Amino acid sequence: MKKLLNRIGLFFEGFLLINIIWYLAYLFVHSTVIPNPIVVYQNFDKVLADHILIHILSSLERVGLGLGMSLLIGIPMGILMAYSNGANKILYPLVYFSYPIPKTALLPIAMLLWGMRDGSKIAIIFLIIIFQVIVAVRDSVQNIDPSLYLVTVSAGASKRQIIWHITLPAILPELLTSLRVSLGTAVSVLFFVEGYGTRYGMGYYIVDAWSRIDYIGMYSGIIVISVVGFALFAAVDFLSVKLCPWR
Amino acid sequence: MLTIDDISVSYRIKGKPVPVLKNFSLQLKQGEVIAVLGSSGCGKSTLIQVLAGMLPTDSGTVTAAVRGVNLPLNPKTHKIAVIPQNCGLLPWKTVRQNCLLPLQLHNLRIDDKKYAELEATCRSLKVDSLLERYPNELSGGQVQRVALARAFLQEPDLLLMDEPFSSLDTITRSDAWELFLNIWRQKQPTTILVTHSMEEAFYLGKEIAVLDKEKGGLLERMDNPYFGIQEPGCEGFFHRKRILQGLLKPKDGGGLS
Repeated sequence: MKKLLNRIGLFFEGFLLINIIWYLAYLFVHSTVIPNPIVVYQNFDKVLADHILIHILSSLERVGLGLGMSLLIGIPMGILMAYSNGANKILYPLVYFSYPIPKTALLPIAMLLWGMRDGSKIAIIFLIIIFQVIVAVRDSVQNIDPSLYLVTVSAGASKRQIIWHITLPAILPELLTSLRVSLGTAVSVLFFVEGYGTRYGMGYYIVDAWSRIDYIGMYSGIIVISVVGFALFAAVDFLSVKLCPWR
Repeated sequence: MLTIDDISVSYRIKGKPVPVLKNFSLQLKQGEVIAVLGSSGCGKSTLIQVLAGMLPTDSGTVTAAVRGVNLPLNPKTHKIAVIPQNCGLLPWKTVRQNCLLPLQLHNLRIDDKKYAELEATCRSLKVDSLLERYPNELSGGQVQRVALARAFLQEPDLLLMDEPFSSLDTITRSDAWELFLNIWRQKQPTTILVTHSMEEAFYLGKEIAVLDKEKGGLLERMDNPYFGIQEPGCEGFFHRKRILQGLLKPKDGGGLS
């Protein structure tokens, strides 16, 4: 808990510092491209009136679906690769090759395959997260101390019991660490994937304000997406503290 | 009675079988403790892996009695407890959860009597105040004692120990030996203790066996009248020690402690 409070303190320090830099930039640059932060914060009444909560929820729904699918497919795949040499031999080259490909470059293909609506957006988020999940799960299962299997197998554990008592708890810390990183990437990619085929989402809100040369609105959108990104980061941190008390 | 009858075990390295145990046989009476000595690579840990159900044998059988009936040794039918070198406590479970895990795995009901037994066992091993802690919050000696508590709480038909005291410093180790002997005398499970320490074998083994690295079988088996006696110091003891030293001396001139 203390760790979490420290992180929140760190967030506020960073938030304050960024705003000071922003304000100084506004004072020295004298351009409409860098508005006064105070004016941007005063604009939040209008942001709320623009149904920003619906935009946030739409984005979270896309991120949530992409994340859910990545976990549903990535966790069993990572476990399979760790436990089966045959599966690892086939799947590892595929993962190794696909891992560094910038997933946003696949956006045109995703659009052609799954259309301009939510399908392609969720597919890109899914592709960003799943490789992180597979690699984190496979590596943490491979790092399990063999003596843990020895004590449980000798005590009559079934395969299901081994997965429940050893494999799943062993992958949890590493999985949450990698999710923290990949969720950040997924939120940042909203800017691209919500720039088409939708009228809802934080990415859409920013792109829309930008195209209307409404810089105050654009900055407000950037602040909202940043806060949501941080909230997701903090939520995963909180989950790590709650779910992995032994760390 | 534990009967290991003519087992052979091999590992596959680059597709080729490398034999470790060859036509190995051993019989152990109910409630006995045997210390198994041998130079490194002689198959001591392999023996533990086979008996724990982790490694299949190429040939031969292993049987052990359950309520007076001899059955092929199997973790599903027998209660087998293992204490590996690093004790094998699950880092994500508290001491209490670690101790109760084998009972859970056997789908046994954990009632008030079992909880009382857990408290009593942990008290006798001086870990009763650590029940809610995680293994990374324990010292090496405490981890050791929790592993003993977990093993004895199972009331095992067979207790297997693979150099469990080797990572402890001299003082903590002799305390751990003492506590082990106390609780072993109360419960008396059939026990195989694999060790590379002659001192440990003499103190904790009612019998001592030596594995043969060359032939993969049993090189020697002797009674140990010095069981439970620290530093006996008599001529008979030194005589036995010299015999063991001779048997364990590797061909390259090194030796065991």
